[in-house]
Amino acid sequence: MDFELPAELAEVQKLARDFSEKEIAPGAAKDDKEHTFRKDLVAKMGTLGFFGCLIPEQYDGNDLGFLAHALISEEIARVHSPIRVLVPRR
Amino acid sequence: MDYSFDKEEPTLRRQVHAWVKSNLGAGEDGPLNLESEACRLAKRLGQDGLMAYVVPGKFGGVRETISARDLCVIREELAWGSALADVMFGVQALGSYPIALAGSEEQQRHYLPPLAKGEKLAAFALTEPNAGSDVSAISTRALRDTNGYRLNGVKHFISNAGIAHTYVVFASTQPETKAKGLSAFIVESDSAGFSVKEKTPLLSPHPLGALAFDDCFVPQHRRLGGEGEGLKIALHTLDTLRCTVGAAAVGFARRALEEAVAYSRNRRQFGRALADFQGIQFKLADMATELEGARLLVDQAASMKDHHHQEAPVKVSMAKLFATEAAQRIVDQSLQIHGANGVIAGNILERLYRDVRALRIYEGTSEIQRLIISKHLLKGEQPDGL
Repeated sequence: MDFELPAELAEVQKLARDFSEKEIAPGAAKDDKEHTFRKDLVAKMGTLGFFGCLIPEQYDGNDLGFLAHALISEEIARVHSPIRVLVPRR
Repeated sequence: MDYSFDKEEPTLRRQVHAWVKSNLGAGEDGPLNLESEACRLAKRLGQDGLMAYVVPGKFGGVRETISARDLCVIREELAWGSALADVMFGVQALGSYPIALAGSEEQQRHYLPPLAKGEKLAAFALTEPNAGSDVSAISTRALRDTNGYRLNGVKHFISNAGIAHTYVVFASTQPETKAKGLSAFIVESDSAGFSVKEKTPLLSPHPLGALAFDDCFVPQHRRLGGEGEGLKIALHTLDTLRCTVGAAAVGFARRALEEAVAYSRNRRQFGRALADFQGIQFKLADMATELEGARLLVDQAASMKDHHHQEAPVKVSMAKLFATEAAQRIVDQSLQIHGANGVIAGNILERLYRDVRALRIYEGTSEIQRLIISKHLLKGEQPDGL
């Protein structure tokens, strides 16, 4: 039994954490106060593959699986839940 | 990340489970004579190769180094069947580990093989009447004497007191430095000046008592590690074996859940099985979920311990804390489902209810685990905004 994250998923976790802290967190309070939604974040997250973990590669997903999906959701939820909701569930 | 079991693990689990089935019977009545039953179980555990897991390969063990995961698998399965069998195994591990950890080649060669075979029994003598969680308050004194030390003092709550042959005793060689002045000694049961002062009956009985040291001579070559290394040896031992207490809790809890599922299927009230009531279904679901959480924490902690992960100590504390507290809730809920049948003396739930309680206290109380965990959380840099 091995409880360590495989290197690939540790990278996914780090990518999601960095993105959450640098791109999502800074505007989070302003979004809440002014009822704004930053559409540009969606495009960036799409480019990074955050929406593709549960989609097979033949349909342009990355098929990284549920653990990657959960790691990304956790990192985003930590800084701003409204954006986390965008990460799709199957 | 892979949550599937090691290849060897299911084999060991099956082996221990088969051992439990053939050596413990129904196990619902208390033994007629506690000490002879305890010795019988320890001997069988030795003969059948299970005690061998508490020592390294070189001295009669199974693996090259002692594996916390193996100890957890064994304790879970033993606890499922009998608290006494689990304690006999757990205390042998606790009493042997300091020797495996800090003993000289000569000490290891002399003491470990008979412990691995269950021919001799070990004990770990740390606690004193005025030194429980506060190890620094230990007042048993080890004064230097020609070619050795003279020990004076009292130890209590010592498992295997009276039936053990090899006692690892912690005493102060330098009282002015408190905990840092502790040293560890191997005391043989036939040493002059060593006696079992009292045998203490327990809620869930196992051999336990108080030891007295009256000018007990311990030769130089039976000091374990250097002078002043006692605390390090004691804490390292407790830290390694702590997750196995969590594993025993998982064993009790698993048994309680299985009994609850079986009972709620068979027991009929108001014209239907208890299992048909949503209130019972919800209880079972919560019990199963807590059990799974406890099991994962214990598995993770033991695995990290075996890989010498730097965060292992805090995970081990979390595993011990959660598993023992969850097991208490699970056993309590199972007893509730059993109704008055569950409190009849000799009923499996009555037994589990008594067996599970001390796990939240020994080898570091739940409160001490919380201190370890919060200390870990609060150390290091203060996060922004706090």
